[in-house]
Amino acid sequence: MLKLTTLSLFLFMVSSHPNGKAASNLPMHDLELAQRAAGDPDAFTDLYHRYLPRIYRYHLARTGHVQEAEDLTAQTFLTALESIRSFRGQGSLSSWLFGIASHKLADHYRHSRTELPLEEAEQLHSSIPQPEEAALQRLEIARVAMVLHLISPERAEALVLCLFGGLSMAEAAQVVGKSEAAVKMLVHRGLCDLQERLTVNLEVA
Amino acid sequence: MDQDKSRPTAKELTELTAFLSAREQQAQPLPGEPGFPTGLAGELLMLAESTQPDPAFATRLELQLRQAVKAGSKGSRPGWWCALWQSFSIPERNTAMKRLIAFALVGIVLFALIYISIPSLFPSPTQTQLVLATPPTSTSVSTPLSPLTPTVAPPTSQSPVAINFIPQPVPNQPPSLPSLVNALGSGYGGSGLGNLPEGMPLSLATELPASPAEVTAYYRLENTPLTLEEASQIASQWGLNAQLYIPAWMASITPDQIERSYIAVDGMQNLSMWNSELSYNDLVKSPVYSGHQYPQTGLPPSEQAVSTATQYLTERGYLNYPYQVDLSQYNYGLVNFYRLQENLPINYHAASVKIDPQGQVGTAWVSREDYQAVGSYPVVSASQAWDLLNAGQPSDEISISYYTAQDGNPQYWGRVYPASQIAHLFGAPTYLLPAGPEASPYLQMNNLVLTGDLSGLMEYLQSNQGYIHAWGEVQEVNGTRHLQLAGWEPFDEFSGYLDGSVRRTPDGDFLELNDGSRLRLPDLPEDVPADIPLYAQGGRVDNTLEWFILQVHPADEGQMPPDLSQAQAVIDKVELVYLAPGLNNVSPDMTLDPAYRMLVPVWSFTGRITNTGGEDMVFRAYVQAVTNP
Repeated sequence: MLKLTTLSLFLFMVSSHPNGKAASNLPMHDLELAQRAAGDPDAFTDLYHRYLPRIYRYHLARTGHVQEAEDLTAQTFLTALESIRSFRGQGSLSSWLFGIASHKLADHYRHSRTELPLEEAEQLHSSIPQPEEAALQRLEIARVAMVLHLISPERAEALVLCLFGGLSMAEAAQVVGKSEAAVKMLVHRGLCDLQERLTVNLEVA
Repeated sequence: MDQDKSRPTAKELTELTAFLSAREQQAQPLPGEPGFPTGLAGELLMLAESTQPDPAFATRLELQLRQAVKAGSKGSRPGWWCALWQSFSIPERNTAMKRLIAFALVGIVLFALIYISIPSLFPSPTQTQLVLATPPTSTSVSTPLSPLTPTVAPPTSQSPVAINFIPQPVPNQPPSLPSLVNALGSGYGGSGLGNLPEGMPLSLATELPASPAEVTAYYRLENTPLTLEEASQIASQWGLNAQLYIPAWMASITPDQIERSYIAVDGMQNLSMWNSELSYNDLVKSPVYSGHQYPQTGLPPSEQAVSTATQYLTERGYLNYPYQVDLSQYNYGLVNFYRLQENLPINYHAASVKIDPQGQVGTAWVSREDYQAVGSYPVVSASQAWDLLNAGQPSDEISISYYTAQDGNPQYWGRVYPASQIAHLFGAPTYLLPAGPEASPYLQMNNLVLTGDLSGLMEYLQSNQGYIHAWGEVQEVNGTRHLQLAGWEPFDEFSGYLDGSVRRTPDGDFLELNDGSRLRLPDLPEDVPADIPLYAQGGRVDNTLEWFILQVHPADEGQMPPDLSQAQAVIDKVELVYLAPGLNNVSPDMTLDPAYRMLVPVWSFTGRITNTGGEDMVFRAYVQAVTNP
């Protein structure tokens, strides 16, 4: 938090404007949609359809289980529905929704302790069934999710938010509470880690 | 040369950067189009695109959401009951969770029975509350912020450059105040590390202050756009003999589209000016290292720092109002000032000054806001506010935040380039254009002003905001530190972040990367411990890492949010303050909305949260202290 209060604003000033008069990154249609969704079920349904695939992909890539991903997706939208009135347009609607999704996932991990130690997770690979045509997509996601458990949670989170959640680095930065530069770093390192682990994993297979 | 297939190539990483940057503008290429990332990143993006939820699930969830909306609009059941009902209604929620909820309900009933029958076993916060929530006495309302010096009378020295405010009509009667939820966010679960459980036990470790009968509400006046002439006057009054610049990106946007900000540059000093605030920085006394902050050692006594900071601001015509000094961040060298309005602090720094170990001013920041009274309101008592907070239900009139008490700023080291040596800089240069005639553009990078033939670089930066690698000799002329540019090239930003461990050997200092390779670390500060894992920012030149910033790994990296299900909060400070919702990131329309421009009188409750794991967090809650007329 203190980083934000630092007075070294020399670099900051070239990329943003502090009094709120600059053109906002917030897509107005998202803001309008959120405001309408607070009292209009149809508007919330629009919001739901707009974000359902991205929220679902995020949860599926993080858990690797369709059932858990659907459960977490449902929880995410139910919480969004309960608190949509609190969305105040500071940051994007995407960041707000993925913030809820991230918290739901954290709660899920805390209670189910699905994070696996390295050796255990690598052994799990052999228990994953070979791809069938109809289930190819889910099996691939499962493999990615499994390997994501082998890398730092922060790197995995940044990578999944950007590649599966469809967020920009700025939006992902809002979700994880870090600077955009830090998210770039995490995505970069996460991708390197993932490729390294996937390579090892495929060789083992 | 064989490609290492276990790592993405620099090209792939650059493509991913460009793709995600294009996404910012909603102009990212589709698979198969030029610019779509190749390699693993591209495969993952395509995998994501081809992943869709089961249509049956999507339809089922949509139906549940619609039913939830209807149930909510009837308002026949309390919120917790709706949430619980929904939990049972979700087919996706697994059986184990349903059993868990059922067991929890049984547990709650049993606990309640035991609680009622054996009250002496539970010396609870509720009992404390009953003692403390007595009718208010006539003691002073304002509880000083800690650590604070006594309130200081306004100085009578120089007046600041006049600020032109747009007059606001004073209403005949007080306007309706916005809800805190609209202004700051929701009650429980607002900002913080995760969801704060509803109904988390709260207890008071202080007495509730007395309440005044009424409090005045204020409107934050809107400044007129800053002009070049005003900016010149402000810089002159600050004591700078400066050229004025604007950010290069601003040049292509007309002033009616975006208000101008100006930057005065005088040697290594710069003053950034917006219509509502000023920010000063001396790159020699307080070099910029990507905004890093870390506690400093060897600072002068705080009394001396307060005196220096106060004198510095008053000499320049600021701090001309009653204020309190806040030293809670003095371990960073920061002396902060809160403005008082009718003897109540506005909970937003009005000014800050950073003092370096030599007792000099390195940076300063000043708000140029002013306020207009718009009416008086009866005050909700602190006792009523406490009851509302302690009820543990989400409310439009409550905003709660919490954050770790641990200092989250990891230690870092910044590079200082000695004069007369060749330096290699990696990063994004600050590029400013002159605001008036007869001046040259200004380029600064890693705290060095770039000089020499800059034409090619400036041409490149006009259409690229990317990182560069620049090299040349470091020179010091009349106290200004330059890089005499010998050459430059575009640089892939991703290549500039490295992760490894410091190795100190008889052959020199190295950063050992995760693949076992080593890069030489020149000018490594003596106090960097050996064998410590570090993030490095810089770039490679042969087998040398030309670093700019070295940073230890954050202590909370990779950790899950703390478990707050068994946590409790102890409130040790309660005071009446004015809350100024931030205007920095709201949309242009919202900055003019009275709901966002009002100083909202609130009761501020601050304290600590502890959980069963012994983790320590700061708790802060605001409860609206006035009711609408």
